[in-house]
Amino acid sequence: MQDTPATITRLLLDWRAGSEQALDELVPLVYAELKGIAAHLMIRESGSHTLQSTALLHEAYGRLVSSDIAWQDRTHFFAVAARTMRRVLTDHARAKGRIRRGGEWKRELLHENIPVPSPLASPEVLLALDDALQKLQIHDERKAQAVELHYFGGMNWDEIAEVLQVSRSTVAREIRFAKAWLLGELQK
Amino acid sequence: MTAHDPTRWRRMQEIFEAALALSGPARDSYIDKECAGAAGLAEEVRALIRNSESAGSFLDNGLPNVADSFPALQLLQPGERLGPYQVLKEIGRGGMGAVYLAVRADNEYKRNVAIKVMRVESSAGDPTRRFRAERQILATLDHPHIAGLIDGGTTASGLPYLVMEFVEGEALDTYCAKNELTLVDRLALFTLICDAVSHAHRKLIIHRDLKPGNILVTKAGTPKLLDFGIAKLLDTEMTPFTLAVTGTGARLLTPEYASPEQVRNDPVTTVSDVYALGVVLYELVAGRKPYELASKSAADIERTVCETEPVAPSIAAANTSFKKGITGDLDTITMTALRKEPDRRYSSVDALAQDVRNHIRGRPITAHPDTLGYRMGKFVRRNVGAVIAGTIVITALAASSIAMTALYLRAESAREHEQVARMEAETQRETAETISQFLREMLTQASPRETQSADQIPIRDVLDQAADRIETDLAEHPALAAELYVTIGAVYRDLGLFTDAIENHAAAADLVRALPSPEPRQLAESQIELGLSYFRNGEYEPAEEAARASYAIVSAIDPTPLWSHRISRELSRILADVGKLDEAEALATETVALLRSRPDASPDDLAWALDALGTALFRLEKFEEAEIPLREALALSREVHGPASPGYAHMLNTHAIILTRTDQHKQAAAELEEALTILQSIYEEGHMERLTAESNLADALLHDTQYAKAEKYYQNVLATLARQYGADHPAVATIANNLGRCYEHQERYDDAIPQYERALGMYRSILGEEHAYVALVELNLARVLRGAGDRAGALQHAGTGLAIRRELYDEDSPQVAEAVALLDELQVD
Repeated sequence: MQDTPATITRLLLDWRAGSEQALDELVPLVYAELKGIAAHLMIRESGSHTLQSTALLHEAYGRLVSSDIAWQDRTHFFAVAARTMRRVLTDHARAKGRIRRGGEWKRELLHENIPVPSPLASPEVLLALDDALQKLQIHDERKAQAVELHYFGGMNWDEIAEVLQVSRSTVAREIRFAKAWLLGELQK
Repeated sequence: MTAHDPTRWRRMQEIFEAALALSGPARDSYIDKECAGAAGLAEEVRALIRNSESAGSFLDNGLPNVADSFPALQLLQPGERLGPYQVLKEIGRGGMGAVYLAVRADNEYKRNVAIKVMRVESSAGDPTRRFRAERQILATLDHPHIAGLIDGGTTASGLPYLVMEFVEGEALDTYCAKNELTLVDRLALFTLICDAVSHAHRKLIIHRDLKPGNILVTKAGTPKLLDFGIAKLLDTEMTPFTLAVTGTGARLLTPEYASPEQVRNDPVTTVSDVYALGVVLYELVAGRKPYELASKSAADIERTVCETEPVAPSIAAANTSFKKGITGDLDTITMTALRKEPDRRYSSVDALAQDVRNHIRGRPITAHPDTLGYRMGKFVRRNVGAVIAGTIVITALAASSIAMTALYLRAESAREHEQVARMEAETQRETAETISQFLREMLTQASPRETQSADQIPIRDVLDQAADRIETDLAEHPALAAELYVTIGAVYRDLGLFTDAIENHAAAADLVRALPSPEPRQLAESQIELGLSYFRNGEYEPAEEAARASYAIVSAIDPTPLWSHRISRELSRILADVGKLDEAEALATETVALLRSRPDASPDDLAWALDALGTALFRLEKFEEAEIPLREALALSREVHGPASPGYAHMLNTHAIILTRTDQHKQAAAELEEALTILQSIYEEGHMERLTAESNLADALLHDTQYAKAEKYYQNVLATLARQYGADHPAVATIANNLGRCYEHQERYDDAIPQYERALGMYRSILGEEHAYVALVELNLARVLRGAGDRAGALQHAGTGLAIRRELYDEDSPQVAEAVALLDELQVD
């Protein structure tokens, strides 16, 4: 395994310095770790809860990243974790959908005013959300990332503001718009 | 909309934002107007708005928080049979499954039971077998206060279920409230609960999810614990942090009762139950939980549970009817159970129950409050890696026509240290731990646990050694070394050793500046610390310079980080002291606004910001205006720190000064005496904090015409100040002036003259010729010279005073008018 703390730390620093390639290398390294976490969440299904996943993320962080990393980089690590978590869950949902429906999955219809259930509750919804997020990304990268950090990374607005290097109010605006837009997509 | 059209997209967002702010027809016509010409845009915007308004918490709960939006699941149908049991109805549900009321219907006796069905998917091993093994263990629980496990099995669809004794009762908290149980009744009930938990512990079963909702009380008043060990049983992956399906309604585990080790996913032991019982006890006596976590994010919950100290129950119980019954012992018992470190809690539930019984019977309890030695260690530990807020600010108060009030001080309490440390700990936990280890080693060498008072801790020696060791041990880690210098400097400053503080903070600032890419935060904080240390040592120019440098760094950060509140606030204080009052007021206002705009800001930080604002307004002589923020700060501080904390004492002090200025002298003296009593129990004689309170008390006494008493305090403060901090400390000037006032009031002009002269000389050299204080003392001196018969001298000083005031104030200001009046009188003489 290459995922020594030193490697991850270096990649994080590179990524922060603007290297997209570093991100591409980072995600698989973090993936393995988070897969374990996600598996945990899956098993618990709806039983999983905030504290646990946060604790696990922190634990993963402690294992993966060497201790002398600066705090901005820590925030960035969680951004990577959010991206990775999205990927892990989507993969899982896809696999599950294949099993259930023999290779293809059917999108669940969502009714207006019914909040979208958690992705853990329904692979269909998770995949639909992932799709919608990808579309959003084409229009507006930043909005998509803000939602990703918020939803998959469990980050609050301040933390998102830190990662995206924008103000807190910008984050709030971006997410408000993205939510409305995504909800529209999911209802299509 | 398929292809991406950036212009259209941007426009859509703009219209969406603007339209959200409108409503009704205004919104409609706005959308129509703006979207005219763009096909389909109006519809899209309307759809967005509709969605935005119905989105609710869509995507807000984050991944983990799932149960709320979970669709209903039918695990068992009413009428369905599970072995000998017939399902009657569902009585609770949650993420983990559901609880049903059922009846045993196979033979002659009918008995109600509760059946819990779990939705468990497991990847590991054979869950059913493990489940059965655990069930065997649970079945060994046999206690009158534990709802027993009767049976268990697997449903037709393969889901495991448990059959439990069905308890008809109310949750502990509801029961106590409804029946208005007295404090002693509550405590007695609590000991029964402890007995049940202890019984389980002897069987090596940990509850893991104790909370009022899991403790039912029957009509007969018998407590029954539900869900013993269920948490673990359900946890097929052996994850310690668990959920529970409670008897009264299934829901996610409330983090309020989770111990720090559970929150952190560290091993759970029997003392984790001691902690949860501590929370239950706290709630029973105080009427509320030690922490309110409902609205917090996961990270905040973890931080709160692991790092903040709840207020003592006696303080939290302020609004309950049995507030008076909650003595220090009950505080100690509760807080001992609630300690963060498992090995510092009661070692067993029995020990906790025994102490509660001791308390009920009026016997001495076995637990001890944290000793000062321990708190000191913890204080340093907590502050490690953080910029420690300093303790003392000497603030010479602005003068008016009445008198000059003395200095007062700024004590940033342990609580604030904690706040700062908490933020820092979040960001630099690993670094912090290295440092804390270092300091802890240093401190434990020197401070015996049992040390009861500050003067027995040779902390100075420890710090000196630590500072020396940084140079050698951490030569290769300049950033770490800088943080340590900051920490040690702040401790020196807390101890009133300002020169040492400056030395360490200057070293820290130099190190940080020399880093290849210094963190803006570390840069800013090392500067503000240096500024504060200079400030407390009375070196105003370098203080202002460093504080401004710090503020410049944070000003460049967008958005304004929350932690910057401390920097703008301290700069405001420094500026207020050097007479740049408008700027000081603006900065303090800005700080208060920042904190009010941030829901995650702590009330304590807000209190200190309000205190700074009050101080600035006070200096501007807007006394009535100043009283408003100060009153709010006082209330907040009492709420946060309790009535015996240095923070509260400080706020009392500030508030009392305002009372003095608005002629409420008796009330002021009372508040100051209260403050002084608190401070005397915390600081040794000669500590700046105590001196400040004494000095302000003297002022209040002076205004209340208790001259002899006032004089005694002034003399004492003056002598101590000169001895401890040097005769040229700026506070000496202030006290000398005030002592002069005291003599003047008694018409002892010959005694007053040398005091005013001393103050005048010092102010001139420290503050320059044209300063409000200089003018004030000039006029004071003029009056007493006149009283002593030196008309020429009086005229000269009154003239100088007037000239300065004309420079500083408008011609029609009361300050100028006062000086003119004095000069007129002198010319008539």
